[in-house]
Amino acid sequence: MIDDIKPEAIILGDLFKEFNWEKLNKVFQTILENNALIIALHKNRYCKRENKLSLDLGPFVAALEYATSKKSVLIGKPEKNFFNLAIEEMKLKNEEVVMIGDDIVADIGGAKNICLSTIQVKTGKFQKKDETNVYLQPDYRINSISELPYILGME
Amino acid sequence: MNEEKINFKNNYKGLLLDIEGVIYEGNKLIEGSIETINKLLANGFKIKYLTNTTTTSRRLIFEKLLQFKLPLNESNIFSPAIATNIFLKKKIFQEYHYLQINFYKKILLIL
Repeated sequence: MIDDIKPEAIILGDLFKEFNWEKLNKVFQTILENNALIIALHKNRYCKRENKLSLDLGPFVAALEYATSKKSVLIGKPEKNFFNLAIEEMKLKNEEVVMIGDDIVADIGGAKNICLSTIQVKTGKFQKKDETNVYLQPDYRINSISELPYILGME
Repeated sequence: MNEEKINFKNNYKGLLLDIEGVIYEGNKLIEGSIETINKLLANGFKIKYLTNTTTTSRRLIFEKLLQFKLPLNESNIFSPAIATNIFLKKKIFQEYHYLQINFYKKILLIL
């Protein structure tokens, strides 16, 4: 049953420009009043919007966690369960799968957590500083998706 | 690049492809993405489109990709909303075992 009367859990998705103080405050109050669980669809810090890196859902989840002193349950990338469910649907084993993404944390970090091979594309939200990230590096980095057949040995 | 190609294993069967920033940026397809995906499919790769997008439904993501003439089914797209649905249905928050989903019959959806 989904309604806004005494919810026991709250699922947070991205509202983009619709995020405002009133909405966040209402969610904050609802969480506190009901001791509700916070489920966040993801906690990505930023994404590319209107050609510029912009606030994603994560900062808003963090704000609500901070205000309520609660930790949320996370669903999307880079969560292990998210990758595992997708691979399960493909009926493949982890070692048979390659993750291709532009996000060093959500895509590459998440996939590496369950030992997938990883390729980062230098498009989208790829940043020059990803190349010198000490903690996270993909197995390969390609200029764009069009180099994928080559790197997979098809050409 | 040549060295990398030689070192890369050849026994992959599936690809998880992020959508935004990999296949398109804003409303523009990234050059060569359709040809690449067609080639991968022709070579027998299974492809799952793995997105963190929560601002639109899977149906709308699917329709957008169809407009770009991408060869796919709606079920090839995997998003946090879809995963949440599976979690809630199967009650399999494996690593979240502290979460007894039965106790959370009332859920406020903020999407």
